[in-house]
Amino acid sequence: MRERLRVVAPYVVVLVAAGVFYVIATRFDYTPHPARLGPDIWPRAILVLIAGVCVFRILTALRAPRDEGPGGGVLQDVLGNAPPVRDAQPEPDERFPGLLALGIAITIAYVWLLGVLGFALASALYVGAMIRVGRYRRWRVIVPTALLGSLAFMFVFQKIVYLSLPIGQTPFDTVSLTLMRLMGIR
Amino acid sequence: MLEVAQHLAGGFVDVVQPANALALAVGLVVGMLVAVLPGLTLVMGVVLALPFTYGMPITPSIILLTAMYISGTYGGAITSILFRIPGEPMDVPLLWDGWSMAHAGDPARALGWTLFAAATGGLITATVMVTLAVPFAKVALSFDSPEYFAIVLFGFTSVVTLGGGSLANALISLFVGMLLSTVGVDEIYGVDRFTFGVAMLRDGIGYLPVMVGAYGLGEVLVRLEQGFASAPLSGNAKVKTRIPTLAEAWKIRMTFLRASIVGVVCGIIPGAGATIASFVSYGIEGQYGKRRALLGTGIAEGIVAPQVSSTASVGGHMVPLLTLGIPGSGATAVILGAFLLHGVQPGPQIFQTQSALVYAIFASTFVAVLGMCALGYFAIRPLVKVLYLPEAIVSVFVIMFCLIGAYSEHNNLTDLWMIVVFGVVGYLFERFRFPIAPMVLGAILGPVAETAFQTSMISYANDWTVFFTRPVSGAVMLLSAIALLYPFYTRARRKRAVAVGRP
Repeated sequence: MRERLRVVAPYVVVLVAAGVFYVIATRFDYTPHPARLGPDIWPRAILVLIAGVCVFRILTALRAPRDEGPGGGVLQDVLGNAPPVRDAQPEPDERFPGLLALGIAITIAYVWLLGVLGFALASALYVGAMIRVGRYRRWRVIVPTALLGSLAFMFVFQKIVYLSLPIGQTPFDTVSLTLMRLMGIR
Repeated sequence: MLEVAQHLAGGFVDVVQPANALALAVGLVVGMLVAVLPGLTLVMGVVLALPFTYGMPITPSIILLTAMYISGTYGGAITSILFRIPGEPMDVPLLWDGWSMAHAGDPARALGWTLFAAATGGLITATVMVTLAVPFAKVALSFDSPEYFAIVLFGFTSVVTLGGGSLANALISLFVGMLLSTVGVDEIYGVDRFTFGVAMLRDGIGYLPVMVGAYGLGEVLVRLEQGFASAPLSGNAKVKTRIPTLAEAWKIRMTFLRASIVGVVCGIIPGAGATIASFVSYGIEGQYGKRRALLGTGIAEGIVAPQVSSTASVGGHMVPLLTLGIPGSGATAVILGAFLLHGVQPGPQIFQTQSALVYAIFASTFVAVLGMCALGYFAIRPLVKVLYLPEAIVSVFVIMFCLIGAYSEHNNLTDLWMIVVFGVVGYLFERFRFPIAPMVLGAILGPVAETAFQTSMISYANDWTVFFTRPVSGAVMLLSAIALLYPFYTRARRKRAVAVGRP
């Protein structure tokens, strides 16, 4: 039963979401035009299809949880008949959900900090932090990589590509503006 | 034909202009580097290069991206053969015979066959592209919205049914992508759809954030959860290449022919990309090859078939992009984005309005194939050196490129939130075994499908049978139905085989 629930859970979530979005789609505010389909028809059709596939999958999974149903034809055929030397690098067994959560949190913080600290400072911190989170421990490599990497990005994108990167808020904008002056970026 | 040759000659003159030649060279090197690095896919590479093209004229921009696309179909083969690490999913079939041949003590020969195959596939695809594009464009001029709708629908069904994995998951992924493309202000009624009062959603969700987030950040998050635990390099450190003789190649000419046809056809079908071409070609070799019983033991046919097909698919993909304005893959969607950013809409008229540009692209394909071969032959040693970079460092720079690439489109920090959201969505898709490619294709082609559908309904008084009664759209709709039913047929066949005790 537990296995069935585990298999079915993602489809139930998608089915519920499709239902919610369908209701929202029925409430689009527009003036109907005679002899023309409304702007809700296309999304509603898509949502009905999503719901249909989910229901089909839930029913088949409840009957036989390990059976994924019909699969992609050609690749499945080729992989099924592949020669013995078939695996590339084996999938690592160990998982690190903590690292994943930390990586996502740091990335969210980076996007938020870009507007506050400016590109140079925020990127240096982000690059250093992410490399460390990625289980690389040599600080003598991490620190110069973070600093030089951030400056290199700034130089390439601002000086060569003419992209206007965030300079941050006071007092951090002073750092960005000083670096830009030193690099000859106007 | 003479006119095409004249235009093509003009294209070659354009390609050797310094800016275009530089773009070509950079595209080849970067495309190969991207393909060599596992975890950094060809599509991601093309996406990451897009912001660099904003300030460039259109011709070098498209040449840069096309060159990356071509060389990207070859670079990953090197690591498959030498280190048993496929740089791209399309290089997996090369493990079966390429790695086996290298492991048996002949890596130089395996690399030589790959290079020869990529060159052949590339030159064939360039020739086919030049030959097919003009007649294709002429036919496309007669297409109306039902034909466009049918073609896009065929792309949807092929990406769903040709790829591996569960059909239900692929369908859900596709529909999610299509639904994402409906967010924003509706074009016909000017109505907000799924915007929830958020200003940034009124502009819609472009396919770039979906692609960059799901392919780029999502993939890095998956690898981060595994602790960036790429296995240490092991294998053949010898990086010499021995090109096969013409006599050796002639012996397996039918493999070259079959693989070229498969590559071009898979390229033309929207949704079926280089990876599918590579696998299908290997499968066909297993069915019809003279030495099919020896496949997997390290024979040339097992290297040639997937490599020729994956490179040959590039030209196939460019044909619908240039003649119909329909991108059939992630990489061509990015190239379409570059066209649109420069104010050029690909389609049947482009051969009249921008013929110099089109033929410069054609000519650059020929030059790119030759450049790719030279690079693959002479620069293989420094290329494989990038594999020794720590994965954590490479990955964080990939994320940086993803974020800056997204930011550069509108110079707006809110776009970065989209990347983060789709990065997490991409991770969840990978985790729960929902393929990402259908979602991306749904996001790319969803608006094309909806517009074609709505226009057809307006033009033909809501008569939905128009999709089936017009000859071209009817035939394509039939193909879609066949493609959709194929997995059910193969499943029934497998079940029957199991029931009678056959493998």
